Amino acid sequence: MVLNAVITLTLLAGLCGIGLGLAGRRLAGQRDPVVERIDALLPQTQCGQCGYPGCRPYAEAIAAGSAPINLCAPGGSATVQALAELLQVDPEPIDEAEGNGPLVARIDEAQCIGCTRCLPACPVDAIVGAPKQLHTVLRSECTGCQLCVATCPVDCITMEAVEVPLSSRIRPLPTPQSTRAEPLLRPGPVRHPHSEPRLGEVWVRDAKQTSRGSTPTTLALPERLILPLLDHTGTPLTPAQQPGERVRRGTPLTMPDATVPLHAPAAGVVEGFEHHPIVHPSAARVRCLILRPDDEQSAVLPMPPLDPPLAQPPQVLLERIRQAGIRGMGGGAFPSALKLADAAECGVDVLVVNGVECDTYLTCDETLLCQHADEVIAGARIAARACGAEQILVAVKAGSRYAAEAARRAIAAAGGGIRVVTVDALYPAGNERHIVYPATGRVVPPGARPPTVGVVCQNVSTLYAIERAVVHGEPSMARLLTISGGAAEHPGNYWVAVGTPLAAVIAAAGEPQGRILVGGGIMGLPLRDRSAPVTHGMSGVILESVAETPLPEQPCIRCTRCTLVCPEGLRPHEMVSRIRAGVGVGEPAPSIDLDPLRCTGCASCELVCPSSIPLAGVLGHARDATRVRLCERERAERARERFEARQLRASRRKREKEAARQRKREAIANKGA
Amino acid sequence: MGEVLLALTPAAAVSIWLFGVGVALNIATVLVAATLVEAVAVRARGGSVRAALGDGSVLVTALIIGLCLPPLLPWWIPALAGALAVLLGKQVYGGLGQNVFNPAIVGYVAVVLAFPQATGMWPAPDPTLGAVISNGEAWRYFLSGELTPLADALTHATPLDRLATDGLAALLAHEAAVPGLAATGAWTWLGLAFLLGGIGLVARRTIDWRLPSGVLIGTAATAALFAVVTDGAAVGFHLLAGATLMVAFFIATDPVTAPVESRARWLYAAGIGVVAMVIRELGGHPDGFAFAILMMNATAPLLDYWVRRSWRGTADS
Ligand code: SF4
Ligand code: SF4
Ligand code: SF4
Repeated sequence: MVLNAVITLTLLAGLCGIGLGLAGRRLAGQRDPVVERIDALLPQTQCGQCGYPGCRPYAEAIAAGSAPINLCAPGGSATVQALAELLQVDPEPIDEAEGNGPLVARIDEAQCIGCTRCLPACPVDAIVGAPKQLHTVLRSECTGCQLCVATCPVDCITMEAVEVPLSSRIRPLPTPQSTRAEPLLRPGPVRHPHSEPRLGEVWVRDAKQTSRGSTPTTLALPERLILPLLDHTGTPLTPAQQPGERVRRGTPLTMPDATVPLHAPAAGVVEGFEHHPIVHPSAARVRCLILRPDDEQSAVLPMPPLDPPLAQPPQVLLERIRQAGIRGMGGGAFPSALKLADAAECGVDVLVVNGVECDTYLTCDETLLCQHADEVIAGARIAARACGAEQILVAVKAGSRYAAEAARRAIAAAGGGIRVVTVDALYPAGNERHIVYPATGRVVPPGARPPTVGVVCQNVSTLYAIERAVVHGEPSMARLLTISGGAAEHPGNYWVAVGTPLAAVIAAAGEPQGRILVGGGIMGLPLRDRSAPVTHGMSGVILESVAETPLPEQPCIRCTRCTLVCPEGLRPHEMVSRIRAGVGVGEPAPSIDLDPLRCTGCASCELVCPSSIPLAGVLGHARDATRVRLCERERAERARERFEARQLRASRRKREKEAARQRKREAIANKGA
Repeated sequence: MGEVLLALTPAAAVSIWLFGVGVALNIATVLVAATLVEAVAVRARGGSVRAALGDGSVLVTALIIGLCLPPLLPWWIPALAGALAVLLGKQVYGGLGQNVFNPAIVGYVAVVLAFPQATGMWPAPDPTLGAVISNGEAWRYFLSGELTPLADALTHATPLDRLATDGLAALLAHEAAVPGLAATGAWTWLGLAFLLGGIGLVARRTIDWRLPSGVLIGTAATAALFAVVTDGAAVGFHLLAGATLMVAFFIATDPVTAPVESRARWLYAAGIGVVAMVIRELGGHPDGFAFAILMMNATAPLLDYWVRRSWRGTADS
C-alpha cells in the first residue's frame, strides 16, 4: 500500500521533472540574445557618456554584468527603468540628475570659422560643412550628445533645448472620478428597440434642445487674444511680426509659406510671445502670440475676392483656401487645403457635406445650416471644384429637420443637383469614416480614409469658412461655438473670435458647477485651465451640471458591451486592463484587436460602459505612449545606422590608408632592388 | 443589477409561497453576512464601501444563494454561505469583476460540502406547508438548529434525490400517486418563475441570450442522449427539475465569470448543461449544476483563448 503510493509519486515526479526539463531546453533556445534586447533599449545616441565607445559596447558590458545599468545619461530614468524591468533588478538612480528635455546643438554661423574640428566629433554625422565654409547641424539627426561642443575652438556651438512637439506628449491616465450623478439626466446611450448593440452603433439620447433654436450672437472681443503658434502637426509656426507691431484685422501673423497661416482675428498690437496652456489632452503649454485688440476695428480685407468663384482653376482655389488658413472645423483642425489636394490626388468623385453632429450637445453645424445654408452650399460647390468631385451630398442627422429643410431650400435656389441624405442618429455617425456608408453606400476599409473609396468629407463650418474666404476674401478668424450643458445659463450658439480665452466664453455662459468639457459632450476634453484659448477646431463648450457629471467608476464586469459597440472592432476592456496593469504600454500590440493605435477615441465604449470606466481616456494615454515610443525607436534606429555607417567609413579609410602605405613601401623596395 | 433583482422577484415570491418563511430568513441571513464581509474586505483593501455595496451585486448574490439553499436551516449555514461567497468567491480575487468563479455558487458549494445532511433536507413543496411546519418551529430551528418535531416533514426527497437513489421507476411510481403538473410536481412552479424573470431579462437585453439558450440546449441534448442510451429521465423532467432554469438564466449569464466571445459563450453554456446532466445521471450528487458551473468557470478564459486563436489562425504564431 505504502510502497504503491511511493512508487506512483516517484513516477509522477519523474515525469514532471522530465517535462519541465524539456520545456526549459526548448524555451531557452527561443529567447532573444540579451545583448540585443539591452541594445534595443538604449537611446543609440552613441555619445560615449557611459564610458563605453557607443551603445552596443555598453549593452555588452551590462549583459556581461560588468557595468551598472545607470550610466546612460541621455536615456534618462526611463531607460534605467526599462533596463531594470528587462533584467529584473531594482532601478538605480541615474548618475546625472538634470535631464530636462531634449537638446540639439546649434552652430552660431556668424562665429563659425570653418575649422572642421567638430565634424569628426559627431558620432552620427549630424554636422555638415567643409573647410573654410560655414558648418551647420542637421537638427533632425542630432542626438544631443554634446560631444561637439568642446571641440569648437571659438565656442560657437551651443546646446539649445528643443520644445517637445505636441505629438510626442503623453496624456496622463484619467484620475478616478468620484461624483455622484443622476443617470437619467445624463445624455447617453439608449437601448435601440429592435437590435442588439452592433458594431459602431450606439443610440444616444441627446441634449441638443438646450442650445438649439436661438439666433447666434457675437461674443465681444476679449482684452487679450491668445493665438497658439502651431500647425496641425504640432510643429511651431514662425511669427511674422515683432512685439509692438500693430496689425490690422485679417493680417497674416505667420510667414506666408506656412501650411496653415494664422490671421489676426482683430486689429491690435502684438504684445509678445509667451508659453500658454492650450486645450490638449496632455495639458501642454505652447508658444502663443498675444494680441491686444484696440478700438479701431477696420473692416479692410487683405485678400481680393475671387470672382466668379466656380470659374477659377482648382489650383487657385486650393491656394486661396490655404492662404485663408482654413482648418477642419469639425474638431480635427487638419488644413482643408491639404485635405482637398489629397482628395484631388486620390481622384474622389463625391463630396459629402458633413452636417451630422453626432455629439450629444453640439448644435453649431445645425445652426449654421439653418441660418446660412446658401453660403454652405456655395462653399460645397467651391470645395467640390477644388478637389474635382462631381457629386455633392449633404448628410444631416435624422433629428435635424429644420437643417435639412434649409439645405433643400438653398439647393433649390442654387439650381439643384445636390442631394440631401438623412443618416440615423447613431453615434459616431458624424465621424468622417462612418458617414461614408450611410451617405454613399461605399464601405471604407478598416484603417483607411474616405478618399480611398472616392469620397471626401467636409464639415459644414469648414465649408462656410471656405465660402467666406473665396467669395469674400475673408480669412478664417472666428467660428460658431455651441455653449451648452445643464449649468449654462445662456446656452446657444455664439460667434467667437479665435484666440478668445475660454474664461471669457465661460463668463458669458454662466457659472460652472461641475466639469467643463471642451469640444463636445462625448469626445470633449475636461478643461483644466480656463485661460486656454478658443481654436479653429473647437466646436463647443459644455458646462455640466452636477446631474450630468459621470457616475463614479466601478470595476469592469466584462459585460463586453464596449467590444460590441467599438466601431473599430477593438476590445476596449481588455486593452484597458492591460494598460492599467502597465502591460505592453508603448509596445507593438500583441494582436490587431488590442492595438491602441487603431482606436479613434470616439468614446462609444465609454458611453455604453455600465461601470462608467473612462475607457477612451485610458486608451488615449496608451495611444500617445505607443506613438511616442515608436517615434523614439525610429530615431534611435536612424542614429544607430548613421553611427555604424560612420564606423564602417572610418575603418575603410584606415584600410585604404594602410594599403596605400603598403604600396608605397613596396614601390620603394622595388626601386631599391 | 436592478433589473436582475426585479427578475428574481417572481422566483423569490413563489419560493416563499411554496416553502414558507424559511426562505426569507435564509435570504436575509445571507445578505447580512455577505454585506458585512464585503464591507470589511473592501475597507481593508482601501476601497469605497459605499460604491462597493451600492452596485447591488451583493444583493443578487444573496438572493441566488437564498433560493438555492433548502428553506429550513440553522442560521449559521446561510451566514457561512454568504460570508464565503463574498470572501472566497470574490474578494480574494480582488473584488467585483476579478473573480474567476461565480461567488454565489462558491458559497453554496462550500456549505453543501460542509453540511451535507442539513443542506440535503428539503420539505415537500406545498403551499400548505405552513400547516405542517409552523412558523414558530421554523424560527426555533433557524435559531437553535434543533429539529425535534420537524424531522418527518423534512424527510421528503426531491425528485432529483429520488432519481439519484432509487432510479427512474421509483420516481415515476411516486409521482403517479401525486397529482401534479409533471414528474417534477410543484417544483415546476418555481422553474416557471425563473423562466419568467429570465425571459424578461433576455427581452431587455440585460443578459446575453446565447448563454441561457446554450445551457438549455446542452441540457436537453445530453438528457435526450441519456434517455435513449441508458434509459434516463425524460428531457422535460431535466429541464424543469432542480436548478436548470435558474442556472440557465441567472448564473450562467454572470458576465464576469463567462467568456466574452460569442462562440466561446456557446461552448461554455452548452458545457454547463452537459456536465450537469452527466453528474445527474451518472454521479452520486442529485444535482450537478453547481459543480458544472464551477468547472466551466475555470475553463472560461481557455475557451476565449481557444476561440480567438482559431480565428487568427497562424498569423501571430
Ligand atoms: S547613449 Fe551614450 S551614454 Fe547612453 S548607452 Fe549610448 S553611448 Fe552610452
Ligand atoms: S463595457 Fe465597461 S464593464 Fe463592460 S466590459 Fe467594457 S469596460 Fe467592462
Ligand atoms: S474609443 Fe476607441 S476603443 Fe472605444 S469605441 Fe471608440 S475606437 Fe473603439
